[in-house]
Formats: sequence, C-alpha cells, structure tokens
Amino acid sequence: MLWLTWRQHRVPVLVTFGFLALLGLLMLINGLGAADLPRTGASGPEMMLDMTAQRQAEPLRSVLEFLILVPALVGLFWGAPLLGREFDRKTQLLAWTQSVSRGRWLAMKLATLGTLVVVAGLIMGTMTSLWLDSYAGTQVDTRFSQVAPFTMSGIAPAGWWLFAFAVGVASGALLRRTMPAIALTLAVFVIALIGVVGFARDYYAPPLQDDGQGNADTLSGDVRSVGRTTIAPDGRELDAADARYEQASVCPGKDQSLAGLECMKALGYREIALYHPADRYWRFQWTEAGALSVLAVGLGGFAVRRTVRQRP
Amino acid sequence: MATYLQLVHQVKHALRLGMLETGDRLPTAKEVVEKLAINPNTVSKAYRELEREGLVTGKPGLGTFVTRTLGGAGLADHARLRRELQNWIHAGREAGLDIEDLEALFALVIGDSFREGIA
Amino acid sequence: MTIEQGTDMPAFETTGLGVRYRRNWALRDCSVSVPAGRVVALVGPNGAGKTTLLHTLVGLLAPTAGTARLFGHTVGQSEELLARMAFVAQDKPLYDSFTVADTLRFGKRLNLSWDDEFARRRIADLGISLRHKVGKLSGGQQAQVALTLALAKRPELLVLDEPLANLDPLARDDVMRALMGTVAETGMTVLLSSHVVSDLLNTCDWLVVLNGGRVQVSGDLEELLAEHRVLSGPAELADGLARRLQVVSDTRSDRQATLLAHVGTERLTLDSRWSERPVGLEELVLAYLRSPEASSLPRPSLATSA
Repeated sequence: MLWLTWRQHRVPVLVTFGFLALLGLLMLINGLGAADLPRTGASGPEMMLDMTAQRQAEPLRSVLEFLILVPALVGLFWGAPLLGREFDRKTQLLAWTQSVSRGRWLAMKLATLGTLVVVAGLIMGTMTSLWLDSYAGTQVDTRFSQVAPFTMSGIAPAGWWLFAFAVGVASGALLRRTMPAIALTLAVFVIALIGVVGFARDYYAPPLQDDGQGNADTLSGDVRSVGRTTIAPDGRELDAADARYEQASVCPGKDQSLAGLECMKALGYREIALYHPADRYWRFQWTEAGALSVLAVGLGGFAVRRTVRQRP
Repeated sequence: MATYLQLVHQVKHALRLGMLETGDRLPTAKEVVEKLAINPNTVSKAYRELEREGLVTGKPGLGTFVTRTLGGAGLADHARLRRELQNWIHAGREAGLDIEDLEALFALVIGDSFREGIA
Repeated sequence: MTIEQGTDMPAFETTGLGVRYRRNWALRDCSVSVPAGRVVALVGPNGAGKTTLLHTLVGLLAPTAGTARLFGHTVGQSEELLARMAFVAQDKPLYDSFTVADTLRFGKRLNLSWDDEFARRRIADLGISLRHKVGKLSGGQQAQVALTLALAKRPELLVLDEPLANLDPLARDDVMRALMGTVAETGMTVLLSSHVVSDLLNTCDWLVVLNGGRVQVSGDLEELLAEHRVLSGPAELADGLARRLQVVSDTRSDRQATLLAHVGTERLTLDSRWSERPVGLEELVLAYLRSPEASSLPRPSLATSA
C-alpha cells in the first residue's frame, strides 16, 4: 500500500515539498538580511517611527497573508482527489476487488498522507517561526497579534493542513466526484478559517483586562488585543454601542470628545482593553492545532465509515 | 450436432486417415480450448466418449492416448485407395457425370456393399 | 481461519437477494446456486440488474435483503475471500497514468497470491511493452491488461462484467480463448455477463437469465436445452396443452399455435397433431426475455446446497 499511495499521490506531495523548499530558501535569505536591524524590547516612539524592519521583511510579509490559503490547496489537491478521482474514473471497482479491504485501503492512505501532511505543516510552521525569530524585537514579529503570522508559525499550520486534507477526503467520500468535492472543501475551509481567525481565536482563554492602571509586564511585547469594553459603576459590561447610548443619557451633550470620556470616568465608568499577554502564544497554538486535529480525525473517521458502508 | 460430438467425429476422422496412430497423445483440453475457444468440459466429454468407445485411454497426469485406430488400413493402403478413387472420379467425369451424379452413385454402391456385408 | 472446499460447495450462491437503490429494487428475490468449475453466462437486457448482481457478489455492494455467498462464506469485507476471486468491471477500468509495469506492480502489491511470472509472460506474449502508459494502449490491449491482472491473481472465481463489449472480433476471440485456457488449466469458475447471447454459445455451460431484477432461469445449459421443447400444433388444442405444461412463450395464429415450454425430464405424451423440436440457446433466451413473468425455477425459491 505504501508504494501505491506514493505512486498515486506523488505529484501533489512533490509539489508541496518543493514549494516548502523554495519558501524556506526565500525566508532564509530574507532572514539573514535582517541580522543587523536595530531592536529593542520596548516599543518606544523611535521604534514606532523606524520602518527599516518592516521594509526588510516586506515582500515575504505580504506573501504570508496569502499563504494562509495554502492549506486549502492541500485539501484540494491531496484530499479531494483521493476518493474523488477513484470514483470519477471508476477505478474503485478495480482497487477494492484486489485483496485489500476498502477500509484498510483508505486507512493506510489516510495514515500515510496524513503523516506527510502534518510533517509538511510542521516544516512550514518551523520555517516561519525561525524567520520571525530573525526579526525578534522588531515590529515584524507579530506572531501572536496578527492573523497571518499566527496561522503560519508554530504548530498551527500542521493543524490547518491536516484539517483541510481531512475536509477534502470527507468531501470526496460524501460527493463521490472530484469537482464538487473541491467546491465543498473550499467552502468549508474558508468558513472555518473565517470562524477561527475572526472569532474563535480570541477566546481560547478568558482575556485579561487592562484598565490603564499598570500591569506593565503583561502588556509588553507582542500582545494580542481582543477589543475594548466598558464597565458601568454597577458592574455591567457594555459593548461600544451600548456604552455610547449610556453616555448620551448620563453625560448629555459631550459625545465623543475628551470631555465626554472625562465625564464618564468621573461617574465611575471604566473603559477596559481586553487582551492576551504574549506568553499565551504557545497555549493558543496548542489549542488551535489540537482542536483542528480532533476535527480532522473525526472527518477521517467519517470518510472511512462512509466508504466501508458499500452503498450503491 | 452437439459440439462434443463434433469433436469426437473429428478425432475419429483423424484416426481413419491415419493422421493419428496408436500411442499418439491427443492434445490436452488446454491446448484445444486455447485454439478453439470452447468450454473445456466439452473436450473432456468428447474424450470420455472416445474412451467409452475404446479408442483412447486417459492416463492421469500424462494425457489421453490413442489405443486403436479405425479402418485397420495403414498409410500405404490409404495412398493406394486414394489414387484409385481419383482414377474412378476422373473416369466418371470423362463419362459426363457431375458431382451430384458421382455422389449418388457412390452412395448407392457403398450402401449396397455394407448391407450385404461383403467387402 | 481455514476455508473449507467441499466438492459440492457452490462456487457462488444467492438466496432471496434484493438490492435497492433509493426507491427502486434493482434486484428482487434472486436465488441462484452454481457449482464450481462452470462457465456461467449471465444474460439479460440492459438495466436488468446484471451489474448490480455482479457487484454484490464481489463485495462492492451490500444486499438490502437476502444473502450472497462465495464458496459458502457470506460476502463481506473478508480479505481472504477477496483473495479467492477476481473481478473485471464494465469498461475494464485501469489507472491510465500508470505504465503496464506499474499496473502489474499494483497487482503484486495488493494481492496475496500473485503469479508475477505468469503475468509478465502473458503481457510479453501479447506483445505489449511494459513501459507504455495504460491510457495510450488500444482498447483490445487494455482489455488484455485488465484480464491479466485478474488471471494472475489465480482466482477460484473470475467475475467479468460485459468483457466482450467494445472489443473487435479478434480481441473477443483472444479473450475467450484465454479464459477457456485458464479454466482448462485451473478448473476455476467463470461468471460473465453479456447482453449478446451469441458470444457465449460454445463456451458457457451454465445459464442465468436476469430480467427486470428477477432471475428467470438458472441451470446447466445442456439440461435446460434438453428440458425445453418447441411444440407446434392446432390452435384449438393449445389451451389444453398450455394448462398441462409450463409455457414460456405462446404464439397463435388463426389455426396454428407455437408453444415454447419447459417440459422437464419426463416423456411427453402428445396428441399426434403436435410436432415438437428442440430449442436453440438464443431462441430460449429471447423467449424468456419477452415473457418477464415466466420462470423455469420452482417457486418459492429456496436455497439449495449446504
């Protein structure tokens, strides 16, 4: 089965690792060029105005934004055709009547390709982490606070790639045709990505609150900001819209100005910034990768069960 | 005619013409069906029929062998009789008989001869 | 797990087999039992359920009702059972991007009992280069490669779905000769489906007729032909005779009636005005196909051998 898996899937595997090699090379070259950038721990005003680090990182940083879609390609080219192409060409009638049961056939393929996918994802994550390390202490290393760096560094890519692969395989098992499976895979992946990136990621742990009074150490470095909320004197939490509404009634006439804020403060309203300190990076990485892996395994199990069922 | 009987007939024909002699091995079922695309059971059935008639005998693992020929005449006799028959046919055609006339005449004489039981 | 091989164990057997796709029954109450070593012709019009029956026997489909058995074992996902049979699907699917060598390697890697020597020799004898991509071969060559894959597995049962369709007469002849040669050599059972009866005339010795998802006929070909007769006689006597016999087809004109009947093994006593003659294979099959209600099987269908 090992030989067969390789023989049938060698193109996407080779293309993927080739791409990783190329990307790695670019990151290496770029990272070496960042060696003599000025860095400090704190983000003082001089730091904020010094764009040399950003300029050095630039081509790759923008590319990184696009690369969060790469897992989709894994789903499309590793996952969907696995079952889809067999059904398209009716070769499942050949493959499943040798001496290997279809359950074992699929399980072996999933195990082999799944392992390769995870390895590739880990390579991706490690390369990105190392590249970001070469920008440590500059404005570029926003691996916790920004969408693309977080998704592409650490172990998150392994989770996303495995997840996308599993979505592809499950789509193929469900729809039994490559093209519709590709469409479904893309749709599910995009929805999942938006859901995680836009929402779920902020709540892997309860956010800390910053009322502007201090907590300097947790606020330093690559802090992940979640949003702002207002606490009323009686302890109620108000979101931005409600806060403005209340402000209009308790501090009339002052609106958005500084005077308005002073008025609210005087009445006992506190404005809190919600955030996650930088040291939560790895915890969040494990949470995300873990959740995606569990989903992937579930989808894989679904695909195997559906395939073994022998329905017409 | 059933296929297996056709096969029996062909073997007997070969025996008569001396193409097969005592001790010769008949082609295996596999050899026959690879040439003729017929069911191997048909071949087995034909060989069993020939064995029943005492013409062949099957030796497991070795094949099916001819045990006696038909007609009793050797190859030399065949050659002579064939020549004589050719002469007769030639004479008949010279006399103006066509193929159907000759066949009818032949059938008449051969029928008489075997009915009377004399050579 | 040892798989016993009794000499009277049917090669394959279905009992009340039914397969349903959504609302329609592709097969209904099918019961056949075929002994080993036979060459079985499965005939019937397109859409009769031949492919469904074959797919169920090789484990590609699960029955909705009834059972299917190979060598006495219920068909499922058992790899030992899978190893004892080989299947060539309709249109002989192969991996087009594989070379012929890859294809043989596929057979070798995925099968327990694989005769690689045999496979290579056969491909070489057919003049097919191992380096060619399968997709580039001619239809006849692809059919031969697909057949080689199946034969090299050394199966006890070989199942083929319309193996002769889309083949030129030369290729058809080659395929049948190869099949018969292997049957002669190994005694394997062959089950092949066709909607062209004349292809199967000299090669098959068991006939199964499938019509509208139901089995009309299943039996030894010689016995079937011996047990059916075509009777011609006066129309006014036809009804009387039809009541006594299992009639398959009944054609009447003003004065003449022609009945194709399953008369069984007993001797028939007929009025002298009736004449009878034996029936040919194509004639028999056509008669059954035209009369979907007719069946040569006893009803209700029960399982036969142990």
